[in-house]
Parts: sequence; structure tokens; C-alpha cells
Amino acid sequence: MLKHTKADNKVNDALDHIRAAAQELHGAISDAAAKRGGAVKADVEAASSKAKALANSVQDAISGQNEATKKHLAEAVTHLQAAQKHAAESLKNSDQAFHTSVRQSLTSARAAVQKVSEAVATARSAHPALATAVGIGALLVAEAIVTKHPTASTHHRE
Amino acid sequence: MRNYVAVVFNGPGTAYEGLRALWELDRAFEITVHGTAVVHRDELGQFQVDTKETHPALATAVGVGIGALLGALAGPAGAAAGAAAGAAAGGAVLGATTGGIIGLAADAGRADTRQEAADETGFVLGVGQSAVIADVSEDSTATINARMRKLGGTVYRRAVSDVKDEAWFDEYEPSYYLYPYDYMPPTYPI
Repeated sequence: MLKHTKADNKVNDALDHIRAAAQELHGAISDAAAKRGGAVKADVEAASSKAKALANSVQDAISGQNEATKKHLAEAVTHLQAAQKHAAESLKNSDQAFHTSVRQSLTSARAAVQKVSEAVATARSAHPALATAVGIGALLVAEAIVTKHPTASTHHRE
Repeated sequence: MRNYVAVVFNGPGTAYEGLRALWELDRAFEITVHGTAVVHRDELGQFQVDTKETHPALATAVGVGIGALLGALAGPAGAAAGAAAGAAAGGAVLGATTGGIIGLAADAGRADTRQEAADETGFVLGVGQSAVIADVSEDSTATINARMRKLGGTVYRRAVSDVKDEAWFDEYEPSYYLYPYDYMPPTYPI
């Protein structure tokens, strides 16, 4: 039977946080891409900074992972850097060129989330017992939150 | 194992319950969800993907991509029809307010294609039905099957590796058309 340590737990927690941040980044860019009008550039500028920070976080999370997870995360870094680059480029452009760069940034952000998600799946399958234990704990906490705050929702809405 | 999953429900409300349940399973570490989308088939037989994309090019891309993915879920016969129908109908989303209306695939096409798809995977989305489409990593099919059965959903699967072997997506990963989180449009509160 596998022995799971606090370090394993921290590693998996870190990956889940990274995935949540990557999902938020994708949501922010896709919201910006769906918008028309003045507020968009500010949104894209914020997304560009977020992509850069996230790429650094993913880079930091690579150490301590198994080889398959490392590979997914390294690919995620590449996609995040591309998302940041396209977002930064879009700020120098206007009209059609701006929207083209935002769409490229969105595509890269989507690819980054995919790679982080694959890393999460790989890490979870490497530690299934730990994952189940953590999952039961998470469910109990979530249930407690919902009981206390019945309107709480984690759904992404426009 | 990595699978594309389609869960068919008899109405949009239960489809969103299914969507939420899938992501709950993810948060409980039972499965890992890589992406999801919800598709409806209206009374006229047209397919609509719920998407936040209002830009015509993006909405069209979503319509084409999900059309091809739905076709792929219907098996090799559906894959050909789905890609072609999705591409042909993609232009129809122009001006649509909530994204892609796609003409599909396995059961919008000829009767022989429809039968062949049903024989291959059983996946057919009927008029008035809705489906949650998902890309998941799962150790056992029982987890999703049991949860969706409780909600009244019927689950269909194809291995991601099988779908990728078909050439309909070119360089673009099929999953990229799915939302990597539990996106729900404001029109479907549950």
C-alpha cells in the first residue's frame, strides 16, 4: 500500500489551486473576447499579468512531481507564456488585429488549462487513496458551507 | 482512462444538474473533468450549444467544434457526418445571441448513417433532449454512470484516443471546444 505524506497532500493541493487559477484566467479572457467596447483592453491587460504570474507558479510547482506530471506542467508553462504574449500584443493593436490576438490568447489559455488538468489527473491517479481521502474531506467542508450559506455557488456565470 | 462522455437528459434543467454533478465528482477527486459543454436539440431538430461567445467567429468555431465532437461520440459514422454538418451549419450562428446552432451529425443526417451510429455507440440526441458533453479521466465508469442514472441521464462514452485517431479535428484538440469549468448561462438557473 502506498504511504502518503503531508508533502504529497501539499503537492496535490498546489496543483488544484493552479488549476483553479488557470480556469479563472480562461474565464477572464473568454469574457473579454465576448465583450465589445472600451473595458476590454483593461481586462486583457489584467489577464496578461495573471498569465505571467501563473506561468511562474506552475514553474515553481514542477519540482516534486512525477515525470508525467512534470511534462504536462512544462507544456502548460509554454501555453501560458503564449497566452501572455498574445495578450500583450493585443494591447498594441486595435480593431481586428486586437481581437485576433485576444482569440489567440484565449486558445493558448485553453491549452494551458488542459495541460494543468491533465497534470492534476496524473497526480490524482498516482495517489488515488490520498485523493479519495482528501475528496471526502472536501465534500464534507463543501456541504457544511452550503448548509451554512445556502446561496453559495461555485458556478461560472457571465 | 480518458473518455469523452455524453449524458443525455430529457430536459435542459436536468442537463445542468448533470453538469453540476460532474464537477462535484471532480471536486470530490472521484474523477477529473477536463472540459464540459451543454447541448440542446430543439423541436425543429436543430442543435444549440450553450456558450458565452457573442463574437460570430468564436460562436461559429464552437458550433463547428462541438458538432464534430458530438459526431465523434456517435462513432466513426457520426464523425464524418458531424464534422461536415457542423462546418456547413456553422455560418448559421451569425447573429445568434447565445452561440452556436449546429446541424449534426449522427441523427440529423441520412437514416442509414443514423442507424449505423446507433449501432456503434447508441448515442443519439432526440428532439427536445439535452446532453452534457465532457472530457474526463476516470478510473471506473461506474462512478459517473451511477451519479447520472440517479439524475435520469443516460451515459455514452468513447475513448479519447479513439476520437483523436479520427482526422476531423486537424491540429485542434477536440477538448478545447469545451469549457474547462462549469459554465452555466444565466438563462438556466437551477
